[in-house]
Amino acid sequence: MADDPRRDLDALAAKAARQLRGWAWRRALERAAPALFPAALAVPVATLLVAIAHALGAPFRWPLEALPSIALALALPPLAVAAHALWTLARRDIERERSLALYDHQLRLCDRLQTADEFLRRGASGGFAQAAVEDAAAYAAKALAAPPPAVTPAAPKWSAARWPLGVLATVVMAAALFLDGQAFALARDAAKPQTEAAPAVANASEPAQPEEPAPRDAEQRRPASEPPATANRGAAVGVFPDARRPQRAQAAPAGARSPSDEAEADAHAGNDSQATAATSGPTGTGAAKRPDTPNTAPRKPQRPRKPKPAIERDREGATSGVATGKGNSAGSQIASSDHPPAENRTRADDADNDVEDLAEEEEDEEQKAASSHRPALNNRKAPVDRSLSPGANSNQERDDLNGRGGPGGLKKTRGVAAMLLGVPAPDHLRGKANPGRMKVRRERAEPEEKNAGLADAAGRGERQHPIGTIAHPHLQPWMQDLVRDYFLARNAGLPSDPSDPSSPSGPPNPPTENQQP
Amino acid sequence: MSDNDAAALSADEARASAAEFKATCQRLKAEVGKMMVGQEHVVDGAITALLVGGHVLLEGVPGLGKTLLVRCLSEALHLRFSRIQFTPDMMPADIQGTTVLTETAGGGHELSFQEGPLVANLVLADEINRATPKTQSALLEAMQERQITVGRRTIPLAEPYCVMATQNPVEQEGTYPLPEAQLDRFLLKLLVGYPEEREYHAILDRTTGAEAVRIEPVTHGDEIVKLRQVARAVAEPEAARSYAVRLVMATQPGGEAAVEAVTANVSLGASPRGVQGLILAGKVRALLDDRFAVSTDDIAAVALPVLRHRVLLNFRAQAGNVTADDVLGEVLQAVKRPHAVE
Repeated sequence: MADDPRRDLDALAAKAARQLRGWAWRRALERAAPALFPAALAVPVATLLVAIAHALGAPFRWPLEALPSIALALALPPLAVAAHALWTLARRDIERERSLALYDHQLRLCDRLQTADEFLRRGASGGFAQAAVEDAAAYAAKALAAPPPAVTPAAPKWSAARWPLGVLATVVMAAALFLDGQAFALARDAAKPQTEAAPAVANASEPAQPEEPAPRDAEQRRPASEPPATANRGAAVGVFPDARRPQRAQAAPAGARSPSDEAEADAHAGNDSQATAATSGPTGTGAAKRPDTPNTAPRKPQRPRKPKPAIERDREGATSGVATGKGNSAGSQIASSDHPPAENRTRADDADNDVEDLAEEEEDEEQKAASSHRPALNNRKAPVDRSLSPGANSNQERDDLNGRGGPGGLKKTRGVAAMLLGVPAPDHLRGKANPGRMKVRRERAEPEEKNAGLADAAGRGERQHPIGTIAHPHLQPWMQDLVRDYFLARNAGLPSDPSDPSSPSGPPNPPTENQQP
Repeated sequence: MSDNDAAALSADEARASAAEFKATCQRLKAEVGKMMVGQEHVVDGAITALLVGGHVLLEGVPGLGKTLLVRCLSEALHLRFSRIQFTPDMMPADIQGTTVLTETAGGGHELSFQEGPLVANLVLADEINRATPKTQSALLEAMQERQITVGRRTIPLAEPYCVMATQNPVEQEGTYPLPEAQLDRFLLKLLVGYPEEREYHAILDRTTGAEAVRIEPVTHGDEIVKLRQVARAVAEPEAARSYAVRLVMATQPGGEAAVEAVTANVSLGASPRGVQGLILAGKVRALLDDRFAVSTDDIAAVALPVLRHRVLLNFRAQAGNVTADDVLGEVLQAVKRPHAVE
């Protein structure tokens, strides 16, 4: 028996507490591990949001370049998990009882150590408590000599549902960096002076208007006095005097073009103004002819469209490319696809007709889009009054004010109106409970006198002719055979077998009409 | 020795009392083992209930030695033993006693109270579920208050008093299930199962031979009362108490501590008598294991026999063949022991 069980218990508690701290740290890491993938999404999502905001015209950009952003995205999740685990560990207290219970459990001591420690701290008196303490002292000495108990936390539970978050984080980060780089290049190109486009302005038949569509960042960086004009814009104005160029044309801004594209456009504008204007107009700034249309108007949401001819798909691709931020490449596509060689164009009128068809088609689409924003404008009616108290709000009587949800004849089977007893229901039945659905229709009819000829029985006379064969649809073939055998046997005068059920003296047969005398 | 005397024991006296307790139990078990083959957990449970003042409900098919066990215990304890064979037409007066008209020595007549078989130390209530609830309820007062009241006469029952009831789980036709109030008064419900193959041979040796086995008394009633006080003096650490309370609360459906299996399958959980039973039975187990304080291991070991008849299963559990032991097994897994490392 040890001399001082309290000292042994203290040593055991300290020894086990070290083990438990390590266990608690691993446990905290295990619990914080599920936050790894969500934390991995933080930097990519932030980068993507800032890039999108920047592309939409926000004056700020993601402060880091690509590599630092990737490094931050990789370093943040482990740091977040470690911080979470540290926070959990700081709030966790390693109890003395738990430390001793660890030894009790490992050495199968049946709570001897923690019981003795409790009795010592509590100062429990009594023979059995003292005996328990003395009993535990020997086990405490043995436990001190034993190796420290090993605590193995459960393996971290990696939910399979979280793995896609890592992939998603990678994809988002790539998209954010790509978008951020594109937006930066877009802004850099837009920041270049518009002086290269000045000759085009000189060639323009109509001065450019300040409402010209252009990327916001380019517009914001452009001085107010500087004329935002391009060769395409001037050409478009010349070709479409009444053109209602849609937003597709806005999506191909001059600022989004590269200098080479603009130079090519200038060349087209100067050399072949008619043809170039006719073809480049739709891709240029046709919206310049709509001074009432603000250039900052929101773009139409893109809708699925029918397959179109190749030339139109090219135009669509050019505009959609710009809309998604691919300013440079889109501009080059426009220049290459909307400006075919002059030798391929035999008649400029054909192009005019095509462009006019396109304009009509887009006008129809605009009307459809407008109708989607304001639905049911054509057949607009007063809303159905669903109030249950006619005349509660006004004394005006209305035919459809029956609380049934509309002027229709059917009663609403849902909602408050169907649950309230005060709703007048035309199919309400009075009387016994559950009499069944019945309908009583009263018709007004005057009684008519009809002649009923009396049949005189004596006047019928006797039957003169045989009735003939009477069909017996219910008579089975074996019954017919039975009857036939019976009569044959009776007419032949042969004795019948009473044991034979088919014999005439067998069981009584159902009477048939043939048996009538 | 009163309870205060037991609490005022020194460590050496406590150690000596515990040793005496264990030795008596071992002698008693060995004596019963002369006749009773196998069924050690049933014998341990019956002795445990006897030594802490509880009652036992033995459940098993016929022929497994339930009645034999109780009779052997009574012979080994040298106690007043009575057996009541419960039948559907039995009335409370048949077991409690009644006033009868007797003839005096002078030729006169007088009314005198004739004690029923319930007035004894060890009562074997055989096939208790065959009696009507009215007769079964006559046991309630005797089991809890250790007295019976007939008319205006109240008869205290002598200690030690122990009711050991048997019931057959198979023949349920013509039986009356025990009411929950009476089930709760049994400390333990012990399931008597079939013996093993080697035990069959021992049974044949002891019962079919020419030599009759004789049970000798190893102790007496006063000694049992003294051992009861020793058992109640065993220390109760806070961890064991908390674990017992958590276990009982986990069996109560609708409570915050109820586990999922209880919520789904139990309509009535254990009562505070369940906590008392866990601690008392755990104390006996600790003493038999040479310990002086109850541990959570003791509580877990006695949880099934203490709680299985206090958990009332609902229709869903009965339809799904879910037993009380199944539910309690999940409770034992779900309830964490205090200070346990997860």
